[in-house]
Amino acid sequence: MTLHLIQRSPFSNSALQDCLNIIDSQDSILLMEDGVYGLQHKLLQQTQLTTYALQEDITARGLYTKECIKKIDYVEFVSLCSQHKHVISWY
Amino acid sequence: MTHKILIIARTAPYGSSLAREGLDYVLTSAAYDQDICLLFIGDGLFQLMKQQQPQQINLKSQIAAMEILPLYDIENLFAVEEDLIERNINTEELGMEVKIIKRSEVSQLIDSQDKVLSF
Repeated sequence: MTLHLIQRSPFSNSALQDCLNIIDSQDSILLMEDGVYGLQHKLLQQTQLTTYALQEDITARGLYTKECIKKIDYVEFVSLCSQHKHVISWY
Repeated sequence: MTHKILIIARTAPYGSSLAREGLDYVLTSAAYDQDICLLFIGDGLFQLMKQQQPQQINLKSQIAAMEILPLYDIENLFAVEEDLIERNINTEELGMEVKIIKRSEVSQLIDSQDKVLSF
């Protein structure tokens, strides 16, 4: 079980697409930094994967979250990392 | 202590320094007796092109630097079939011996490792 940290906007970088190409259905995604622009992208509207996003990064950029995305803070981010066998950064 | 480390190479060689930094990480880790394998996905596959001549743009060759990998006992190189097809790359055009795997097999490869890093 792997946690994938998406750190770049999917509109200008292939990080999210590359990750989705190889992801396992048991894995989770966390959108952070410019990765939270993924909330606006159709790639994530099609997915059944468990998806989190960092509240601070969303608010900072004036974005809104859809209900299916779990908003978390930095404390929850740390515990999420400890719950997964691997954490991979995509940037 | 030896760890099984997977390096995911997903960036093209000369547009940024990431590919080179990934290779530096690989060679350094191997010098410390770590068990390294490399997975090329997406634009990272362009690092493997046999006919690279980056002297033309005053840069050092990524593929020439990778030729020393076997000397460090790094022989597990993987490339993703769908990404090769997407980029119109034939295996004869690759300068290294790689094992071709499918996207669906990558999560199994990741799961078999102690550490995973992407460059």
